[in-house]
Amino acid sequence: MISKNLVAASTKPIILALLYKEESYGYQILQRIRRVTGGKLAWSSAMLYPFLQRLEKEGFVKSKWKISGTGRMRKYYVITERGRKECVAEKERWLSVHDALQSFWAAAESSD
Amino acid sequence: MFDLEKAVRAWVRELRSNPSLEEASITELEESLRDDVQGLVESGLSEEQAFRQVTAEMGRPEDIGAEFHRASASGRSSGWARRFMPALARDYIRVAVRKFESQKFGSLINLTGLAAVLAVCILISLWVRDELSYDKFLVNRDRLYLLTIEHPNGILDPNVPYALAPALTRDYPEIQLFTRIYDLGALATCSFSYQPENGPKVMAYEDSVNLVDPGFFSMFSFPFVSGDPATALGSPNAVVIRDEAARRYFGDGDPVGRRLTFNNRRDLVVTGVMHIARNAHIRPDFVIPLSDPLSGDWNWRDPSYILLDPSASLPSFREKIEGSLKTYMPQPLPGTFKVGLLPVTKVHLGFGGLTYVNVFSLIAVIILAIACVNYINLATARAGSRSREVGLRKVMGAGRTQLVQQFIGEALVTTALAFVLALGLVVLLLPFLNRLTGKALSLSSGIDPLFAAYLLGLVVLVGVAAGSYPAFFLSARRPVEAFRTVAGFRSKRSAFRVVSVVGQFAISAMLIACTLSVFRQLQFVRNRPLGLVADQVLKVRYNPSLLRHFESFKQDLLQNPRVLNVTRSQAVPFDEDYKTGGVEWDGKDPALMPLVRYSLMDVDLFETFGMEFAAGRGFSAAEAGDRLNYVINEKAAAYMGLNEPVGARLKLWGQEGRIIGVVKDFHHVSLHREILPQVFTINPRFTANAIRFIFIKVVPAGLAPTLRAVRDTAAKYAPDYPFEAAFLDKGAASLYGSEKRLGSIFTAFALLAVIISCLGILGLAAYSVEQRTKEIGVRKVLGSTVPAIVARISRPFWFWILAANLLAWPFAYFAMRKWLRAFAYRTDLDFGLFVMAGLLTGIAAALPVVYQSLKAALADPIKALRYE
Repeated sequence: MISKNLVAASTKPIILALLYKEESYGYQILQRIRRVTGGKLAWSSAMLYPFLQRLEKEGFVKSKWKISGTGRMRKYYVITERGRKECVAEKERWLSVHDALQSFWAAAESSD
Repeated sequence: MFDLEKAVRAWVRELRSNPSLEEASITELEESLRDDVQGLVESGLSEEQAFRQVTAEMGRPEDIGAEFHRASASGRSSGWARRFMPALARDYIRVAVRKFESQKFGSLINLTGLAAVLAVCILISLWVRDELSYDKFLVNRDRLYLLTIEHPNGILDPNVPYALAPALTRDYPEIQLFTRIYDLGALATCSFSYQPENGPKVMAYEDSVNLVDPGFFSMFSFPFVSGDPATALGSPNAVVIRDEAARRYFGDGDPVGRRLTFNNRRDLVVTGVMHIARNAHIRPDFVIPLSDPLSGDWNWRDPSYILLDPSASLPSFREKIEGSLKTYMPQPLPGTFKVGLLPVTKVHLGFGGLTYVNVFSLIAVIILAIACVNYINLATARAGSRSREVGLRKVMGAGRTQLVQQFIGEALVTTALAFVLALGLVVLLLPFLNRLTGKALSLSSGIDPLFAAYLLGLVVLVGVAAGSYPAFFLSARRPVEAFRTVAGFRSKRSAFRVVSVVGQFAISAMLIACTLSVFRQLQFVRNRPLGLVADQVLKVRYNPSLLRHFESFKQDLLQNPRVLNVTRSQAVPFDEDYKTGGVEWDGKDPALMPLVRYSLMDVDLFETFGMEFAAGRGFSAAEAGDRLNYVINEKAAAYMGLNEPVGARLKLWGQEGRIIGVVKDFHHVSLHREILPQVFTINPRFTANAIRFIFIKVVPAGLAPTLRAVRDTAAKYAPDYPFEAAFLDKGAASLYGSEKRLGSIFTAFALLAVIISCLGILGLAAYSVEQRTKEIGVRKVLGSTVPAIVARISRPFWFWILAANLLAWPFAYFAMRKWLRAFAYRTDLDFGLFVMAGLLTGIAAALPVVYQSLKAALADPIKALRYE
């Protein structure tokens, strides 16, 4: 089980990466995260929607309402230019953490 | 049977009840829920199972709401709170008005106190501005100087010998022009008459008549209503009149070119009408060219002015003329008399006036500061009642800046309101101030842009100064604390309050002590036997026709049984102050420069004023030799060291005679004036042109018919002169003027100080009572009586009042001792007065303290205990 803090920290890079190529709506985002992570990241819609709202306020995504084929209203989220930059920056941050962890782990294993 | 639609709608309704959720978010959540449920149903769950699972995962609606709130709150930039919100501004005003209403008494006192202080500050500012504005309108103000003489004892004398200015001008090219102001009106009777072509003659006595040198109008640039200042003094028979005086004779017509007769014997032609602003230190009604060059006259009685060349170096010129008195005077005076220059703009305040300007400015600053401190005390004392409001505002997201703005805004509004009240007060009080100062200050004519800006600045300064401490104090508290008990406000800050209140009461006590001392001295002055009796003495203006027929006039009057005595003199005996050094007697130390008062008078003066003789006799009409004889007073006998004064030889201005009597010392009405050695003479050589008044002693009964009889007799001998008469006792009262004025000013300030100190102690008492609400409640429940509670609460205040008085007394003592020293004759300082001041401050303080503690003590103890 991944801790709540770590989930919270990873939310932003994951959503930005997810929206990097194409727009999406809340349910779809949840489904895709579930699929990609194999359910390891426990996300609830109660957590996602406020977070999307916050990303929108911070200007990383925009939203628009669309009517689906079944006549239902859906709020689609689109990444902005600022969001794309932030996504790249997030990737660099996470990779540097990743690199650091890698080397520490390598060191830990070699010393065994 | 489970109905998915119904369940979803119920769920949405629940979400809507949460205020943190916007409609759009709810729609989004609803769609997401439907997607989720549909997905689970597709994987094989029943609709009911799927709905329960999804809603369980999403959590309770209030948690969802909280999540959204957190996301939005943290997403907001910090700049949000600083934005101005008009809706809130209305709310602030509403809150301020409600606070005012709910604490009417306190707010009203606060407002009145602030208004009174602002009014006094505005009045003082108007006065100070006027005092500082003197002579600033003169074109040549930068080069125009008054010649002064510094006496060996350090006194600065505004008068210099008549011959000095011409002598300096002859020898120093630095001086472009000079003028002396020979005050003829003070030396001799001056009357003017105008005979219109048709209509009765207009005639009046004038006191403000100056003889000047030709440069006068080039130096003093008084604007001319008509006529030309450059040529106005060209002819020896010219006269320039001030516009107000001109109206007395010529009405609205143009006087230039008309004939004005001086003392019925010399015709003068009006060559100009000048207007002199009230803020000029000299304002003659009549200006006439000085015909006598006075170049050999080394007496000094009047001022002289010089106009310096623009290229002249002031410091070196000052150095050059400093010792000139010794150089020029035929018989130099012993001791160092230094000639100096005083810029014309400094003349008005140069002889003691500046002290008053400084003192009053200081008073204005002090009372402003006190008013601010009081506002702070009252506002922080009420902090408890406002802490909930502040807490709630903070919980609702108000930033500190906003709260600070709110409270400073409130203080500004209060100050602005007080300012409006103050303006009203100023309008009401200005006539009083004008009567007190003899000025014509007015608010409407006094407001120029600069002064308006000053007033605005005053309001903003007081508002911000008074509002900022409570603003930061109140807004600094954490909301949780604010909701806790008011007891949390107990703090060291009360030390500030105590010091401020003790300070204020010290000032009040000091002012009260000073006021009482001033009044005591006034009473002393009034009750002190002067050594002469001025009651039922009629003062009649003397004129040349009466001079010619004086003996007949006198004999006629004495036929009237109501007339007891008739005499004449240069001045009212108890108000004259003519001094001379021209006295010599046997055994005088040649190095001594004597200073002796002299009286130019006629026989019967001593009898008219009921003066008594210590030795010898007074002048007698029967003794022809008396015109060369002298009478002196006791002081003079001692001063001259004469053991046997009667019969001793005395020389006045070179005229030798014998002393025939020693009159007992008598006081001047203004007891500032010391009894000086005095010489009395009836020698016509000296008195003929100097006598200005006739004094007639009458019986107390039937004053009106007596006055009529005197007028008729005067009309018989001097039909060509107007009749002007007044009883002296009335005139004597006006001579107490400056002391009375000081008394009134002190009373006003003491009253104001008491009012604002009461305001301060009210704040302190309110604060102390609020802190002890619970204690009072508990005491009451346990059976304490109202008087016991009042006594307990007010106890510390009595100590503070006592401390304030102990602090004030030394200051008051030294201030009053200094003031009293200016009187030659004075009361002793009485410790009883100080105790009295203490009692008065105590009574003044008791009102608010007892009021507050009674209010608390009488309140229902249940309320006191339930206030949390």
